[in-house]
Amino acid sequence: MSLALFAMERVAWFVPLVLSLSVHEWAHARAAAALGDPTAEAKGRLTLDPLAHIDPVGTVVLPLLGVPFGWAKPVPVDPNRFRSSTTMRLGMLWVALAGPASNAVLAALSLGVYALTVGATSRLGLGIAGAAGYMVILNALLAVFNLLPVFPLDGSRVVDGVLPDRFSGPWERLKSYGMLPLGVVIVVPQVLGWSPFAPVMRLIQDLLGWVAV
Amino acid sequence: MNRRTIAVWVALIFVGVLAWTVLQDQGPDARETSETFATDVHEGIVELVVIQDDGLDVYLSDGDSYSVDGLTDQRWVDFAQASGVAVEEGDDPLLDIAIIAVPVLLIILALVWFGRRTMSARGMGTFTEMRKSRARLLGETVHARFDDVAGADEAKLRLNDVVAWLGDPTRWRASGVRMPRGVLMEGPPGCGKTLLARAVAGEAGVPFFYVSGSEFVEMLVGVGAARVRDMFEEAKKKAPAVIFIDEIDAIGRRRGSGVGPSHEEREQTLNQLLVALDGVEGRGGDIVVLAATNRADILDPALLRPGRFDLHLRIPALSQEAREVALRIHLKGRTLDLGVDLAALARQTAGLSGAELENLANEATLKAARRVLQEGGDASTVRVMPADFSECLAERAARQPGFDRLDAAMVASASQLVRPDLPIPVQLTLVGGSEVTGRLLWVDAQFVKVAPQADGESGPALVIPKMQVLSIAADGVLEAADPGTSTDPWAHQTPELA
Repeated sequence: MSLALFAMERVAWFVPLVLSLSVHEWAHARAAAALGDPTAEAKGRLTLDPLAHIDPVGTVVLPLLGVPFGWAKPVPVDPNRFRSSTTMRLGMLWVALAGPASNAVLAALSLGVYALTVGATSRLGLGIAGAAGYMVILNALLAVFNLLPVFPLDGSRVVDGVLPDRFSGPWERLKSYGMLPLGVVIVVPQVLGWSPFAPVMRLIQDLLGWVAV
Repeated sequence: MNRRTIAVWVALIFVGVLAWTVLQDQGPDARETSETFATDVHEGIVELVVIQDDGLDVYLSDGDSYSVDGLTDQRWVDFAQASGVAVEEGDDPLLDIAIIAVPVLLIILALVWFGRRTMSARGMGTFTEMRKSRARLLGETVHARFDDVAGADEAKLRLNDVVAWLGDPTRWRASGVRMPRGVLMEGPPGCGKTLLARAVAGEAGVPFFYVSGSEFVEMLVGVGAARVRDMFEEAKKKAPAVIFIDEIDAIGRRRGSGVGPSHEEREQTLNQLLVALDGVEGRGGDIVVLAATNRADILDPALLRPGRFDLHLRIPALSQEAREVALRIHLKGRTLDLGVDLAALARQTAGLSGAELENLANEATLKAARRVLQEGGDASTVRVMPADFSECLAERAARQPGFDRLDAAMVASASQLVRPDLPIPVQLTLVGGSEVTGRLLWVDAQFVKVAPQADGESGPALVIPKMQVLSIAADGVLEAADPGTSTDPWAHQTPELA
């Protein structure tokens, strides 16, 4: 494969990732604003503008290097400023869920675009279908991955919100390991050659194939 | 959604779709050998051959297609052409690179550009800007004079030498005198340290650089030190000059003391300041560094040694005479009623600093002006009456109970030192002439706390600044403390010394 195609492939991965992460972060900010917390808005994060959300290393350098892992700048949320109609715990739960939910919505929309364009004969049509299909896979993975109950992923905030108090001790102790459990979750499947995402991937590929026919 | 967001999205979607479109057609999936290709050409079913940089793409007349890898030899192309097969050049790889490189470069440029803009919008300049000293040059000529400063007569006397030196450094140096490089002024808040420093520059007629110690402090290690260097460079250009570092304890704190996170930055700044002080004369600048603090006790010993801040001036709280002078200075240009007795006023304002006296003078004038101007009077007829001053003083006194709330937390812990079961009856005479009788609850360096008792009724506890206390009589102590007990909370503890 020529160098040009190689670079083009990186760009083809990079652009959907940046757009999806922007929507993800925006959804967090939007949910927090809806619950009454203006912190994210004050920091200029209540926007779909990718430039407000990208992290130079996690969103640009790593994906362009081909590392299948990245992150965007976290949106600041201050649960103290939620409206009194919600508890801080439940509020954080909803704010955390908003991100993966937005990726699920994006995946569904992309699936629609894919279904419309996959039968195209023109090269541009096929290009759009390719991008849309990739968006489906990427966003489904983003939604599932972020819902893993591992600190500091969104799933861990969901656990914060629903975990009964009597389990909070071990849970907090687990969180005190910081990013270590996340590293284990990412590295172990790589080493074992088996990934919990494999079934998800297969499901989506089946779905895409089914839509294409 | 603003315009920039839309622009970024459109650009990214364009680039993304472009990339996926380019990736679509990568030639035929099937791979065949050169023998198959040769056979197909012979049979005449080959319609088109596209030359790629790593081989040939072959398109058959029945719609099938395949690639043959490794056929880079021109003879294969000639052979196909000779057999009547159409031949096309594949895309030039350089063109491919250009297609990709341009958008990628655009993205990177946009990111850099917007990133810069957000950085400067946040007020974080470039690093070079950060390293600039924030010292401000307050005019080539400072108008303050020693006469503007009340009290601190001894300090003025010592500073007169500095003024004379700054006026004509070469003459003094010729006589073999080494002037103090640094003058440290220590005194309670509001006693006129800053004004004194300005007066030095004013009397000598030299530029006055003002900087606050906290302005050297930044998150980034090395910035403070760079600012010190920059400040001395600037001052040297204008030498002879006065540099005034206000609140020097912000950077001059004793090194290596204190617990907590890194002190790197402050220590570096301090080290640079020490070096700069050493070099002030050596490198030809006739610069006198004045510094002010109200915590000289926490300053690093290295700052205080001869050759650095070698002249220490204690600026005391204003004496009665000084307060009278200060009032006179601050009331200059205002018409006073003949009944105003500044000497008596000075007696009543014991403990007030110069800044507080200025405030008092201003408030009294404000009352007078309000009285006259609200009745449509002329500004020139404003006349400050004795009543204006006494009202202001009464208002100040009324604010005193605020001490109690402010210090409640402190008192709560400290008052345990005095045993509540052993009341110490005291009688305090305050500066205003009023008297407080009650139980002494607690004493520290600055305050006394007393539970007032009148006719057997005890009122809410008062925290009284010691400055306000004229005299204290504790005649009941001996009766209260019978020989078996003691008022000293530590008295029962046997000393344990290892």
